[in-house]
Amino acid sequence: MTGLAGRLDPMRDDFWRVRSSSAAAVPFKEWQHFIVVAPGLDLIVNFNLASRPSGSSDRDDPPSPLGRVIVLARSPRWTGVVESVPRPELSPDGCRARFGDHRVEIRTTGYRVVIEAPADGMFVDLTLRPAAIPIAAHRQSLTRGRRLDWTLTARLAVDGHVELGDASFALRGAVGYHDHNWGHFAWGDDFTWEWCSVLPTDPAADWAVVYSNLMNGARTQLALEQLFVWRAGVNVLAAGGLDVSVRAHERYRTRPALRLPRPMAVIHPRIDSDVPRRLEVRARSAADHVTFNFASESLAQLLVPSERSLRGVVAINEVVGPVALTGRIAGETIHWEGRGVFEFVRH
Amino acid sequence: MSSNSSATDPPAQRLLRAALDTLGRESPAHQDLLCGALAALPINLDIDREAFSVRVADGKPTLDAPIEPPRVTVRTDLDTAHALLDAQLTILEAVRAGRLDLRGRASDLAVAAEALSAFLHGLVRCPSGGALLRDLLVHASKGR
Repeated sequence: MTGLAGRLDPMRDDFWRVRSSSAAAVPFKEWQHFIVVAPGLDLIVNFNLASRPSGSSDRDDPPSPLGRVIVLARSPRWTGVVESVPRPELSPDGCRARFGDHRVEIRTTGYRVVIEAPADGMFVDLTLRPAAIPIAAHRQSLTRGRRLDWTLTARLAVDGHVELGDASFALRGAVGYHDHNWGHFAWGDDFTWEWCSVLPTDPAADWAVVYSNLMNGARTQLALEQLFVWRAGVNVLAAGGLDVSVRAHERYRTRPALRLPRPMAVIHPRIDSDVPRRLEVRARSAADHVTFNFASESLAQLLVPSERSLRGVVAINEVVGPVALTGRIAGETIHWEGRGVFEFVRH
Repeated sequence: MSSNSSATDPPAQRLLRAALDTLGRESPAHQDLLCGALAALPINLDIDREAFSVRVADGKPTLDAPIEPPRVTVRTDLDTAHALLDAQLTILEAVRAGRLDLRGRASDLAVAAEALSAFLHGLVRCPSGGALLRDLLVHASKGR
């Protein structure tokens, strides 16, 4: 890891980009997304900002963005909260953000995430230190006229404390994932994505894998597909296009264990989440290759009101499950077991 | 029954009036959608024995005296309303358990469902929607 010193500085690179919510023809969105995987715990925390809908009133000029905090946790049952924050606070350097009682700090050495939701029996206080060189993409096209910038850190070392009802977790050297996205698009625009983070079950196994694809809303056209592998913090495989192939097996038919925000479940009663029961992903780059098999174990669903239609809903399916990975990289045969957090976006 | 009272309203009407006011301020397109459904079909509500109707007046959804004769009547309580919005049970489960009673011709119930859909799709898009749900929880808890 000493070789990575100086190349991992979230404060330099990962600050919040939004400064105001000036009226725009296309809504602006930005989020900081964290995943933590530990024995008996899958945790997702998302802090997000969005420009206010046109015509909505705000006393600030320019109007301040709307904030939202999303927490999903499985330990082993799913619990979660989606909380709107009308007036989030951002430091001028974009490195400290307060969303009501919750906050995220971006430091030179990493991140601190604090969630205080006593009404939901939830408390999180984590420090996440980057353990892999981040990658970034700028102005990636989602669909016509819509672009997204993103950075991701595929592996972080996580320490801290999580309380979920009666369950308590003291984390020392757990593993995590982080990404940061910002751009202009509307939920309901003609795109979907499928994306996953895979981290080894053994924290000493210094690997990380990220897979993603981008499709149109009907999922009939594939715009982008890529897979990255890191070892000891360094990217050792990057594949895309025809060098990546995916096969979905069967359909995961178990009812979502959690659907948030809860009122959305009344108006979006579909329980067919249209996610695979098993996914096989293969990637190669020159002589290197990996294959991983992800098995859907449990699903929590975020239901996002479409911004393109008055009754549309975009379902973000967060699916967790075991992963078995095999392959050969730099002449070495690899095989390890891990934990996958998959996100399937469906219209 | 006055359609402009608020602070002195019984709880179900106060909560619904607050929700309709929020809808009008924060999601006017959904208020228009709701009014389109209600213009064709005012709905009678009986919530915790508060009997009233939701209809359109002056281009806005308004609470008033029950409609006679009723075309659609929805009978339930605040506890069940909260349980539905908290995804503790579905509409079908509530009907089967006798916690939600829906009466009307099938075609009228379909229009009422459209009205409910417009109302809820609007409220989930309102930044103040979360506060309304918390207020409902407070009142639902009092009723237990």
